[in-house]
Amino acid sequence: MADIHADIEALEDFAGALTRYRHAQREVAERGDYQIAVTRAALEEKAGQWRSLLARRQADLADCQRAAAMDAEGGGHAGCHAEAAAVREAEERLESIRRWQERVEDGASAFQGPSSRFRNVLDVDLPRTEQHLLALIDGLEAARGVRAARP
Amino acid sequence: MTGRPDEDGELLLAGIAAAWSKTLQHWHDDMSSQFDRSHWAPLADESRSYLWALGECMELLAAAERETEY
Repeated sequence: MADIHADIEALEDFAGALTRYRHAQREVAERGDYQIAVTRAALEEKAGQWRSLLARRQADLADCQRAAAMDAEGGGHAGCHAEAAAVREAEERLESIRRWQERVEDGASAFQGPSSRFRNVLDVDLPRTEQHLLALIDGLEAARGVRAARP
Repeated sequence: MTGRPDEDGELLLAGIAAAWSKTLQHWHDDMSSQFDRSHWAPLADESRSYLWALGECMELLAAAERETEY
């Protein structure tokens, strides 16, 4: 009996596997989208930190330059090389973060097409495929006069 | 599933492909060929395309986080 209806049992197993696949891949897709959001937020946070640091370092440099100007009037000369280097570092890192933000936006944009198509597969095509399989199983069962218990 | 989403997705695809191969061992009539062409092949192709794009995207995100870690 089991051998005769092995195709029906195999189809039922596969229909169940497809349903599980659909749910699990939807979770994968959601995790992918979440990871994009996490990275966007992380880059924005880093940019914010470096903007604050840049403002502080620019203020330090301005203070130093004012002090240096006063020292120069008094005959002394204090250099502000360290402060200027610190400003340059913050500017470079901010620029680097900005470039990575652009690359991430480009990547997320390129990913949008395949992601949208796959979600359509999961939400529309795959349920139809599962229904089609169940109809095939029903047809085979009807042709053989058997009816398996199915939830 | 706790790894990178694209890697987990690849495992899922490998699993469903194995399930389909197993199904074909017991179901080999005209309908199975038609199902293979009309349903299975498009699903497998679309899954592969998506997972490849997801992998590229995850690589980019990892690089972005790594390269801005100062």
